[in-house]
Amino acid sequence: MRFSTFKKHIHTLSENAKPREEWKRETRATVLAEIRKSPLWRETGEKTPTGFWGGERLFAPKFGSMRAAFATVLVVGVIFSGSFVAVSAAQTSLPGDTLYPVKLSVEKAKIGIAFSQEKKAILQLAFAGTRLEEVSRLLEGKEEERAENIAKAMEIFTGNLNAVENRLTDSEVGFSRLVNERTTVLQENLLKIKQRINKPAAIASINASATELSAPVPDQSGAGDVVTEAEAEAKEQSAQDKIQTLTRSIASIDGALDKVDETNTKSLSTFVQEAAKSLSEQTKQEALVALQAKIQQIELRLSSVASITAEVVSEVVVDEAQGIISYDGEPVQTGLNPIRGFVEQISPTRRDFATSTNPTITKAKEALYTVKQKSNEAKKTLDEAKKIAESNDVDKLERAFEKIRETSAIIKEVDAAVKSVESLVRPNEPGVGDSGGVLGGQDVKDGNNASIEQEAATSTESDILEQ
Amino acid sequence: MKGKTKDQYLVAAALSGDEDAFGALYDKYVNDIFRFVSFRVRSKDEAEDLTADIFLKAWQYLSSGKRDIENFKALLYRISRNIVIDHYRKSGRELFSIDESQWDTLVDTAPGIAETAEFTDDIRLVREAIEKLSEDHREIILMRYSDDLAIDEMAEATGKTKGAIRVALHRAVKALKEILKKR
Repeated sequence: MRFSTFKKHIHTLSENAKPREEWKRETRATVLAEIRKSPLWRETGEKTPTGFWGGERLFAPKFGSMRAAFATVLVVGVIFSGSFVAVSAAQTSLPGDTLYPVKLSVEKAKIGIAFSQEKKAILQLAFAGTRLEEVSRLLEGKEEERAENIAKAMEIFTGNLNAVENRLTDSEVGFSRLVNERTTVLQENLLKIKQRINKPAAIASINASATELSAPVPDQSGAGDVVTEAEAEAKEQSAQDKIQTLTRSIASIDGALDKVDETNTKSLSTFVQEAAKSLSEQTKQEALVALQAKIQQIELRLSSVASITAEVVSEVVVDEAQGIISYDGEPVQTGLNPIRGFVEQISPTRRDFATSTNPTITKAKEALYTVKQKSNEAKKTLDEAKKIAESNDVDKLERAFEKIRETSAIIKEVDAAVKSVESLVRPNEPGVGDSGGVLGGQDVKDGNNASIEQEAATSTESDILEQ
Repeated sequence: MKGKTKDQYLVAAALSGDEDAFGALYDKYVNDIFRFVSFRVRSKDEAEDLTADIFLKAWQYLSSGKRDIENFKALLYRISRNIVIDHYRKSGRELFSIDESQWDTLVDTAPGIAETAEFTDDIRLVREAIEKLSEDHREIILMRYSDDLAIDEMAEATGKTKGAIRVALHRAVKALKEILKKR
């Protein structure tokens, strides 16, 4: 036999040594099922290793073990950048760092190589969690640098969630449930971050620092303090810029809270719809549990509205006679606070309060009435949702969700009204309202409060989850 | 994208938790690995069992993170070779020998092959020739002409250098030609 004949025959036999298609399919499923049990693919719910806030399940949407993530970075990073060192160092970078774009590129690459749309979305959720870790670390850094970088992180966070939300349409019940669980955790974590930023204290600190730095130094020549005026102005401007940036970063966190709530609600909606159609009793029960969790979350939100309103109102000093509303941050010593008393006295169901000759005070009263009235409505609707959920009737899942949706819509109106009150009583805070002066009394009295009105009118749903 | 680079992406995705990516690697190589194993075991059932084991072991190795995996195909063949060697040792058979009944099964399933008496004779001669080779030569010949592995893939699968594989292949082909000449 010739060698070429030998090769031909063995090649033919080899080509026909094929496994059965059925066996291939079954084995594929078996192999993947075994792999899913491995620690690498274990779902979240594991505590974070060390560090953040007592080891709570704070940044839970982590994905895989550190070693696996490191291996992925190694392969993907070397493929893309050719530099393992750069990619490795980038993993710990923060917004504003030189290597941060490399970190984002690696994340993008991981999403790019993910096969299924659902996997891509799950990666987006994991990276959204990474954004929160970054913000948490930024808060421990230098104040003047962090505000800008926090805003950047929140912008990317919102982008991560937009991508997840787009994939929720027509998704399977398992996926929507997963998104719901993970966005609930993201919401909790983001709220904790917001609570760490004490805006009034931060502003006071910036202003105090600016005042100290710009304190005029006596001129030795005896010509006075003229030589430092330019410096003082520059310091003042710098302080204002910092306050603007701080306000922007808080606004970006508020925007991110809106987004995560939106994604959370959408995922719950999809989950409930699919569960209602499902034949699985267990799936329906899980949807019920998710609804009950959402109800609890909204209850906390509602109860915080009352305290926020009280906090805002307590800052108001109103002199009816002079028509001044100003914010001084000090406890009110005199009785010149009709607004505070107003809140306690008004009925949530009868609009029977007297308007004021001062349009700003009238606006404040209207807004406070709306807060009280709508809060009452929201509570009633939420109670209806609660009743349905507590009945444990899995056939009424969609009805319960509708009530939750109604409640959320009403709470947005409450939030808008609270913001409106805030803008009226804090006219000098950048981004809240601008009446042009510390007291702003003249402008207000003259009705030259176009910017305040604009601010109040355009303040939309934000600050939703101040819990 | 070249095959090796694409495999690296799939491995990276699999390590990130994307089971579809590992599924894609399975789909790509399951036929090749089954074929490799088929020539070295006694039945189709054994071939199926060992093939499944090989993929599970491949995952265990990947997820252990012990080393970077630059060539997934080579890893698979290395694991396959080790598992097959273990199997031979447990069964007491000579390494890389071809079981007669399994060979007959392979012949029977090849369309059009069993029809001619001349071909049946030829196929018998092929098997006998392979059996007459030494263990090392047999392994090299099968990897090259049955499994269609390249020199570098054979080197990675066996843990030998490319140079050593070239020399071994040259000697194995020479020995096989001598055997075939006598048939």
